[in-house]
Amino acid sequence: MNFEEMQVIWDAQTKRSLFAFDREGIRRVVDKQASAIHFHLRSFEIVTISSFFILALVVASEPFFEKHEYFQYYEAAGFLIISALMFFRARQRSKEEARFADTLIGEVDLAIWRLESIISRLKDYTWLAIAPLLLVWLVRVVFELSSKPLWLQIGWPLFLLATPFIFRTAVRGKHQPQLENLLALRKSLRESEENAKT
Amino acid sequence: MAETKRQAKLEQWIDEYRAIVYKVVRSYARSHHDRQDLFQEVVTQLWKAIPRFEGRSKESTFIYRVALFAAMSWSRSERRREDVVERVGEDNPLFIDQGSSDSRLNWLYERIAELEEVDRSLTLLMLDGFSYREIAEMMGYSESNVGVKLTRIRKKLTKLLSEDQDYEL
Repeated sequence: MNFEEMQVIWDAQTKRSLFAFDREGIRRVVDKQASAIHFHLRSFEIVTISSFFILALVVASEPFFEKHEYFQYYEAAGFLIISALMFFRARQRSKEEARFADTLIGEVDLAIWRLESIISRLKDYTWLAIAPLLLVWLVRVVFELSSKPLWLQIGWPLFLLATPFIFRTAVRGKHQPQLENLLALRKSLRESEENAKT
Repeated sequence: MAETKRQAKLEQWIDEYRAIVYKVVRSYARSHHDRQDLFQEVVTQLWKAIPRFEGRSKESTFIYRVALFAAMSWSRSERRREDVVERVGEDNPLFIDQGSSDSRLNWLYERIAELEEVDRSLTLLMLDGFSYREIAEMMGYSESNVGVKLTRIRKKLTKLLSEDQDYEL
């Protein structure tokens, strides 16, 4: 058998049915993917942007129901600014996605860039999201402005302080190994091309 | 894009371009379980890629690129078995191979699977009739480098063919 005959065998396979697939099974796989929102950068951004926006509305509307406190308007404004900042960063990221080449290397670069974005967002949000929330809690406690129960006053900062560790665990366990795999793949693709020159 | 439209598009792509999906899965995954895993990974990557398809390239080229990327990153993942979204049982497989009755074709797939991961991609594209220029554009390589690599691969496969008398036509 020579190479041309091998090509004939290769071409002949497309005339066969090749494989069957379970449509329902594919739907289940896709549904699981769609529900795994924590792995999708866009979903992460949407959740954080809307959370801060809703938080701003809640904090601003609190004085209507409880005792009027002027500082709550500052808090609401702060949360609104954070939400807007996150929104503009998300838009900027979406625009940047278009710059990747329509090639296999471009595909790998895009996947790397997305993972790096997730990792940097998770790190950034520790400061951008958690620090202001902690500051608000501190102001409320120090100036005795909050009438919330004690368990909530203690539980809230504990939850906030635990969040960076949860983020870090997610990065170490899921995203970092994926990133390393993709960096190795990009290196392999580039080395393969370099080898052709020698 | 609405989820139902996206789902319909995914099924249309798998139906229409099943030859591409099959060739990529067969070339990168050797065992039955691995093919199930890789098929799932290809499906997942295609589903994720649907919103990115803007018609700048042909659908077949786009699907080939996404499927090759899925296969190459999957084959590198040490934790791929743990990462599978849904473990598929023997009695309920997602992917049922119906094209492996030809022993010569199986031999060819075995030899392709022995190549380096990048060379496997190039071989698939070459056997599927893509020109050097098209392959270079799809991979992000220069045309001359693709030419050099494919010449080497062709020589290697021809040598293997001559060494293996069992599969003489």
